[in-house]
Amino acid sequence: MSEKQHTHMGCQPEPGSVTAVHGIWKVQLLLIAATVFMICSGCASASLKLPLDFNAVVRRQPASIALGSIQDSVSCDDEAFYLQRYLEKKDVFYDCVLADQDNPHAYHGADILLSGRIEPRVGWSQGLGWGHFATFITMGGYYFLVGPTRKQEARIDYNFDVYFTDTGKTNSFHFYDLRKAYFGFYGPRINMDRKPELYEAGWDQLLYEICREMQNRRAGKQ
Amino acid sequence: MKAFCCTKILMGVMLFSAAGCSTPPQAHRDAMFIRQQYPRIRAQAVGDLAVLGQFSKNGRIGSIVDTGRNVYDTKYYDLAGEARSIIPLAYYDMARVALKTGRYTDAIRGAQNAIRAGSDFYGGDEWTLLRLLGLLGNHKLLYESYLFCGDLEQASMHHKQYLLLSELMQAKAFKKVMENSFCIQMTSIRLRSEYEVKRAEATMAQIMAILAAAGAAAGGAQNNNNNNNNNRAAQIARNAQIAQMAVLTVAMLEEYKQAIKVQHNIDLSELMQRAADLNRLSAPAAEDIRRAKMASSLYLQASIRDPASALDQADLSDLKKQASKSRNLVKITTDENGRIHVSGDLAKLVELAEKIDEVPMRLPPPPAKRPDDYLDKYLTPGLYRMAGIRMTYEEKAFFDRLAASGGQEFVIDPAQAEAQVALNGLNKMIQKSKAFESWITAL
Repeated sequence: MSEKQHTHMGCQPEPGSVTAVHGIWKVQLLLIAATVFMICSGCASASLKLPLDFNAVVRRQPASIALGSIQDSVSCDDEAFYLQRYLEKKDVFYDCVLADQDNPHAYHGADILLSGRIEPRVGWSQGLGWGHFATFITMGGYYFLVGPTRKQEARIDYNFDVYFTDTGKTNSFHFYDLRKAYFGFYGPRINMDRKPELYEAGWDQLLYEICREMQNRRAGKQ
Repeated sequence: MKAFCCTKILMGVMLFSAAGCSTPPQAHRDAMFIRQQYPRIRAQAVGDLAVLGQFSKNGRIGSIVDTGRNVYDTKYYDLAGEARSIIPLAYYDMARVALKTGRYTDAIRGAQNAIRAGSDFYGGDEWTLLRLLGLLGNHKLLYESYLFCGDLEQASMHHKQYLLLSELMQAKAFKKVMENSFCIQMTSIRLRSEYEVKRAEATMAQIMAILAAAGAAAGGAQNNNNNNNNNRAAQIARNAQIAQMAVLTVAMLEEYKQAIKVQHNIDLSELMQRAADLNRLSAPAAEDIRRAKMASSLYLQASIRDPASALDQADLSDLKKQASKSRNLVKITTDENGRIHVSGDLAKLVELAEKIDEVPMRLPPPPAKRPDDYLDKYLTPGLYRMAGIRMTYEEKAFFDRLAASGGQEFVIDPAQAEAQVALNGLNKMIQKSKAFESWITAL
């Protein structure tokens, strides 16, 4: 018995628009101000945001969790160890064990068994038309003042199966994390291919989904 | 005089650090293991997994491997060996720490990964020794972990592999392989150290020249030119020396492989094939299970204990009575807010858990001849599972305190600081009493 749940949380960052102002100096000043603003506010966007009721739902759960096979683009088992460390730091479940890969249901007696696949795709950087235009208008000032002229996208797809031991049912969770980084002279502000930090937004989302599901199940039992 | 002493000390420190005298992280973790600093070992080993990004597929590694703490120049045999050991040893260290702390499934996962990583990174003939040592340690870990999970079939299979590997490594021919491997490693370390010392000396000479130049200010221009000329000549000589050493190391490796083939008539590829075949052994026979049980620590303890302290028939029947009542000792429910309500005779559950802990330590002594019946009767999967579930000091202290206060009913709020300790301890006591019940009813 499998229930499918799809969560798509993607958003497009708004690069902002430049209002036409008479006089080249005013445009220059405006662009410099916009550059400074973008530098201060961070030039990267993350699409997976914590839900507003995250803390209310994700509290310490009276359950233990076992991690089965967690695969990603590299053929090794490091993701499971990283996820275990992350869950232990979050202090949500009272115990988090790694299951035997040959026999994931055996030995541990955990309430939840998690397995899944993470597919990261980091795209090539692309030039930004308005960034080049701003560089041209300001005679290179925009570029050398660290104004963004290129963008890079990273999309990470998460597919997790969560098996609940008490009911014997499996829930599948699918969601994706779309990130864009805007950068110029000094390169991207965020390291877009660094593991395991890259996956933590997805793990937060997964944690939220599992805890919400457990809350619903408990409420249904009463 | 003071300045001279300071310079000498500084020089000594620089030479010491540049000569490669820093110990590898694996040695640090061994030291921490002896001091029982298990969380630190685990944190460091998980951190080492991030190095995976520097390894391309099929175990090929780059010329320089940077772990953040150490930098490995893989043109040297000893450093290449250390770099290749980062991932297998990280998994192995996590597995042995997990075994020590009673987290058997974590230990199984770690050892399985260490074996897989070993087959990737120790694929070449020259790493045969490291691979076999890794297999030996990991099969031993798997044997003990499966044993305390109560899976005697898996445990005996890994015990069999461990015995076969030990036998292989005790062979005279293999000892020659080890000897040659160590010889190459030591030579590589010596060559590297000599080079590092010379480089440090040259660097120090440069620093001294700069200091002298700064001190002499305007008048030192001529000297500086001379020093620069000397440094350039020294650098050319050093480069030639490095190239010579690289050629020498490669030649020694080839010689090592040839010598083993010719003198000892061992084909390393065949040896590795034999080691790999051990993973495809047939299912364990009754004899293998018997051997695995007899190699366990519980059997050893029962053999050497004073028979006077062993459980007698009266003790066993008393325990049987208690076990039959253990199922209804406490009742556990979870409310919609996630709080756990525990009601019942907690003091009796704690008392029973303490008695269960004593049972594997007080088994009757095995007979000197034909111990089969004894093994079948006492050393069952239930007994190993029961012995494997051990409460931590904090968990034990928490429940002792709770039982002493006479609490018949209590609520565990998962948001409280002690909730994890309480839930883990409660879970262990219940699992332990279940394993105990299955063991003692079969007696």
